[in-house]
Amino acid sequence: MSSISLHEPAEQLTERTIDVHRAVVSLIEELEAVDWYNQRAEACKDPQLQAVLRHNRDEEIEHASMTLEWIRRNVPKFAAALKLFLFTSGEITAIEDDTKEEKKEEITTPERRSLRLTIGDMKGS
Amino acid sequence: MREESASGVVTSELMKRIEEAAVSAAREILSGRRIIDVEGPYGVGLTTVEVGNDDRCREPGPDEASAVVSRALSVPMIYRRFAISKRRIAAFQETGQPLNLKVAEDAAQAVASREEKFVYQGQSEFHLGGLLTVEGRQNVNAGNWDNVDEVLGDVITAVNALDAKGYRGPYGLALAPELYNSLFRRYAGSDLLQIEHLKRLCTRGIVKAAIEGCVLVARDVGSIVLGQDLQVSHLTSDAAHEHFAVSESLVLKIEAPDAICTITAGSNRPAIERG
Repeated sequence: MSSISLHEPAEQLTERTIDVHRAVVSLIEELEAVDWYNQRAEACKDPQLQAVLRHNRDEEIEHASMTLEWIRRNVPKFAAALKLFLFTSGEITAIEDDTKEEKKEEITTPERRSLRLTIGDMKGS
Repeated sequence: MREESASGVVTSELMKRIEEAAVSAAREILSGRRIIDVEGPYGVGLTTVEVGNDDRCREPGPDEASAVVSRALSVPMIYRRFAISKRRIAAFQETGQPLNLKVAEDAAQAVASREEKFVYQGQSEFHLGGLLTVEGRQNVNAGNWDNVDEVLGDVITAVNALDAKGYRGPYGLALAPELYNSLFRRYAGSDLLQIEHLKRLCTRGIVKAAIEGCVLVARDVGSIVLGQDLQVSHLTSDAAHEHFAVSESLVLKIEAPDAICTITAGSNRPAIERG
């Protein structure tokens, strides 16, 4: 259960933090399942079982993606990071450096500037 | 943020200072963001937000093609200009004198107040519902809130109304200032403040808002979708002033109107009626 893996007493945490924890733990579980199915499918000699395992792996990828989307919608920093890194091309590690460079010229890129979170969600504050 | 303007005085450090003052002032006003989820920001280019699923216009006839239509909300942009004297900025930068940023704070609070109006009242001309106005919301009539027990009773009635629709919480409660202030009373023979008691029921928060009456919302109600969060931009210079604007774009996306329950003043509540 995700509730027993909280790192702080539940009464000191907001509902939102606990929900985010549930989502993060679920995402970990889904990704682990993807890895397990992937390895099992590769090692399996029976073609029918191999097909089932691959199908299951792909289902887990869908589950992980749905969970990640919930996290994106509910954790603004994730939303900003995913928007920055996902569906890009070229050197992944260079994207952040590019962004730092772009910050110097933010006045010319209002679209990126407008992605800054200044107040955001105020629950619990 | 801008590194340096043509006039050379609007540095990124100055912009940061101004924006921090603006954000801090806006936070004092904002209450909707304390009880409703916030999504985004998705960028200043966000002008509409889709709500719900694409629904069929109507059942097609036997030889007719089907059609689905999406429902979209317009995303308002809210802004307020202000100006700071060039001499004041120079005095701050060159001689270290304090920089009075009240104009920026006032502009930010004007923007925040408008955000609150959109969240609670909506804007019917543009088909934007607010928490207090959207069709399909639930409502209960309040008792006499001079009586401590009736406050809790009315909120429980509202919670039951949401619960009956399947909204199990957590709940957030926004109240008119005089109602909020009236919660700082102790139960007879107890040290327990009424607001502390209600916080156990409304775990998303209890907030003071510039509204009439009060409104209870369940988490499922929807979210505030940000295009651009509150920011300060440098616009231009003239001979004596640097001109700026505080701006933001957002919309309240109500996914479940029946996850809202307004509590409106009953006829026996002179204590909360406004003059």
